[in-house]
Amino acid sequence: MNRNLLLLLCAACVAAIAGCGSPKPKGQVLRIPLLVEPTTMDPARVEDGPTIEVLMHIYDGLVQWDDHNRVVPALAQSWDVSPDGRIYTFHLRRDARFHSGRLVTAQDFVYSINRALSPSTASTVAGTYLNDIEGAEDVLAGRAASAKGVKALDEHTLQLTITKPRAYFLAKLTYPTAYVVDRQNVESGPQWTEHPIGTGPFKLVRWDHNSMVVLAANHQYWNGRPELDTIERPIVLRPSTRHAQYESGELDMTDVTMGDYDRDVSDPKLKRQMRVLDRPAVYYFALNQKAYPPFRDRRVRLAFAYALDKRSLVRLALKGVNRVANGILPPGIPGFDPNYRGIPYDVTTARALLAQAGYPGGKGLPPLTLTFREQMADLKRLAEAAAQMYKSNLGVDVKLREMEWGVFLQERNRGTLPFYLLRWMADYLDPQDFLSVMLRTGAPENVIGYSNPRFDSLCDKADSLTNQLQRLTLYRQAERIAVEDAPWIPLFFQRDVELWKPYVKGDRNCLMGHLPHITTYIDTSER
Amino acid sequence: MRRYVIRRLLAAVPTLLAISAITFFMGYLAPGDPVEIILGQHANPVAKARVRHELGLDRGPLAQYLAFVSGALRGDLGVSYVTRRPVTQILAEGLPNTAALAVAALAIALVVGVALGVVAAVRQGSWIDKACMVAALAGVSVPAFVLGPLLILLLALRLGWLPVAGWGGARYMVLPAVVLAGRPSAMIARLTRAQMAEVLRQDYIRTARAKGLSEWQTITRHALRNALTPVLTVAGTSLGYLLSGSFVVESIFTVPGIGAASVESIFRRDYPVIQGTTLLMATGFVLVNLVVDLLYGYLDPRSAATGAMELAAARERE
Repeated sequence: MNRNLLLLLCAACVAAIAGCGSPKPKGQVLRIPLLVEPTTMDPARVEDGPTIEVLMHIYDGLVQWDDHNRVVPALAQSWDVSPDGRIYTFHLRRDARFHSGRLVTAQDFVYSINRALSPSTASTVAGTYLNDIEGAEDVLAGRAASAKGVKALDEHTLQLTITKPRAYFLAKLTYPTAYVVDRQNVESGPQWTEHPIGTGPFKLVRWDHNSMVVLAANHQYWNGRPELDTIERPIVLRPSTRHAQYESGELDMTDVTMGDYDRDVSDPKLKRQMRVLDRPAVYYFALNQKAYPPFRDRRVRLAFAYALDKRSLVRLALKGVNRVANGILPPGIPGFDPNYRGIPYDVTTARALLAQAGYPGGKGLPPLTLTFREQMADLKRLAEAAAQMYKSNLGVDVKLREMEWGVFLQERNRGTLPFYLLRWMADYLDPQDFLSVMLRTGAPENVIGYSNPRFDSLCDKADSLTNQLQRLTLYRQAERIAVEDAPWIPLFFQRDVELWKPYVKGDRNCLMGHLPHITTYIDTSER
Repeated sequence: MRRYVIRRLLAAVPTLLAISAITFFMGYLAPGDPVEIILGQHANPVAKARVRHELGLDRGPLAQYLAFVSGALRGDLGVSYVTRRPVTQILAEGLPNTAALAVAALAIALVVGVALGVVAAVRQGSWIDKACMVAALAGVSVPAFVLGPLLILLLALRLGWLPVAGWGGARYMVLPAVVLAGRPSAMIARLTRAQMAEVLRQDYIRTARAKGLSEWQTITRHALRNALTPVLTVAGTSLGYLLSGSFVVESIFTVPGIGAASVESIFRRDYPVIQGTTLLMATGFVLVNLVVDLLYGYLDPRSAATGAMELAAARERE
């Protein structure tokens, strides 16, 4: 009798703990996972995509991206640019308030920009996004407390002066490092990021570290109250867990890894919920002339480019999801040319070029190693397939080496890797961020020793022009030079695959990523 | 006994010092400049020098190690390179969750392990015995990264009884605790079986049966009580394993514990957090073992000479 009672009690406990399935939230609650713990709630310092996506909901800048990949007004209602393209005068909205209720002024922007540049903020990104502003370098180096080019003309007018005309300057201001922060909040103590006060459509109401971030709608938002009441962002590190949570109904959205792709695409229900989204990033092989002398010969580099059947690589390694990269600029970046064919797959030309360079059938080439990031199954498959192509098409043995990410970056930055597979993702949607930043002679990111004076001159000219049509013409010419010089072999453009529940409606997306969920709503009749 | 306690306490000191040295130099020798992790590769040299000085990285390795140890003794393990939050705060947030999970797993391991061990010993040689020991073998052999997804598939996705992952109540704890309990359950089952088998052969058990006690009473009142002392010791040492071994389980089930913080810090090369979690785990393990040894020495004075673990292992071999 006693034993039976004990068994009954145990069964009751299990039933009580287990409940019945996962709870369904009521009302307008969106549940989307965060892939990592947010690194900070300080917009001046943020540099990783998942955290940026959270901060976009809490803060605003002068300008923002829209769903047509255009820079459109945010806290700046409008702006004027001086004829020489150096002075930007922003007219701020008069109805924008911080979450505390205080109205936003031009002085808040002066404080925020100078603070982002200040060495005491130790921002890794302010130098990239705000360095065009006059006097920014002085603040970054600790020689001045405020930048000369940042001025509040009155309560609602902000003037930014840049050192040279830069057509992409506004695009740079979309990055969170230029968001406005509340001085009182920032100076309240070192833990202010636990309770940030922004101007954005949502407020941070809960941040359980390594567990959950909860955002609640800002009813005073200048652009109208968001449709959603709450956004829950559980922090889920493992893709398989995220996928299982999506299937069980605990999440409204998840990313799809290549490991899950086949299964999802063959499931009619999940296939209907699948979205494939272009992202402004290119994967490439870098041919380092400094670390591997044969790559100083353009014919050798071109031979490696001609010998690669990119279409097969994408089909074999990436299940055909991604778009083959013929050029460097990804689709959606101004200047992208869908008709450009780049270096085609041509084994005969590849062999001939290698022979002309003095390495017939690959003979005489020093050993070559292709390095790529470890624990990336797709990249590993791609590297293995490429090595096989080089062996059969050129007779070249390419060894493969997976490397821990931090060590990889360090070695790459030191310029010691002769041949590596990497991705470059846009900081902002402009060709300058790909061509001038990555391949111009002496650019900090150009660690592979590529130099072509004509390429440099076209980039320099395009960087300084304000006429977009003229700029894009020059960048296109520069891109062709770079592709045909083959310091890089562009491989494919990034595409993200995601699953979204059909009851999530009204969400917006741009090339840079998901836009703040201002218009998103839950169709409760479908949930 | 007092001498035994003092000897064990003193023996823990060099162990802890060695742990602190390994932990520190692991971070010190790891590739990558901490200042570049904080400020970025292209940061201004003046700013880099300032941060290097602020963090004391411009001092020699020995001076840095001594500062690390003295900070650790004061409860200051530095600041995360990535989040700029104090490491002790990160650990303090994660530790209660890791501890709760470990205790829940230990409770499951004790109940399941003792039950399996007793049943196997009582039905020694039968198919029930073999089934229990196969289950124990599976518990030891199947890793958490296999068992976890299998249970998610069955109990969360197919049957919908439990949530897949998350943290916030008893129902969220069931799956990770069960997965974490797999290995210690198996160890306890094997030890309980060995102990029970030995006790059941003793004269006083025969006497109890001859007096007319039921099998249930004989086992629960006489056999189990005597067999459990070494089992409890192993359970204690298992707690150390559970506290330090939940990295994978926390990651699978998104438990916001020390393991999850540690995994993330490894991916971000956040060395102060890696050092802090390693030091905490290793110290916890040493302290739990120390407490178990002392407790065992108190319960069984013979172990004061040999050590609790050795004695328990010897008993399992018997």
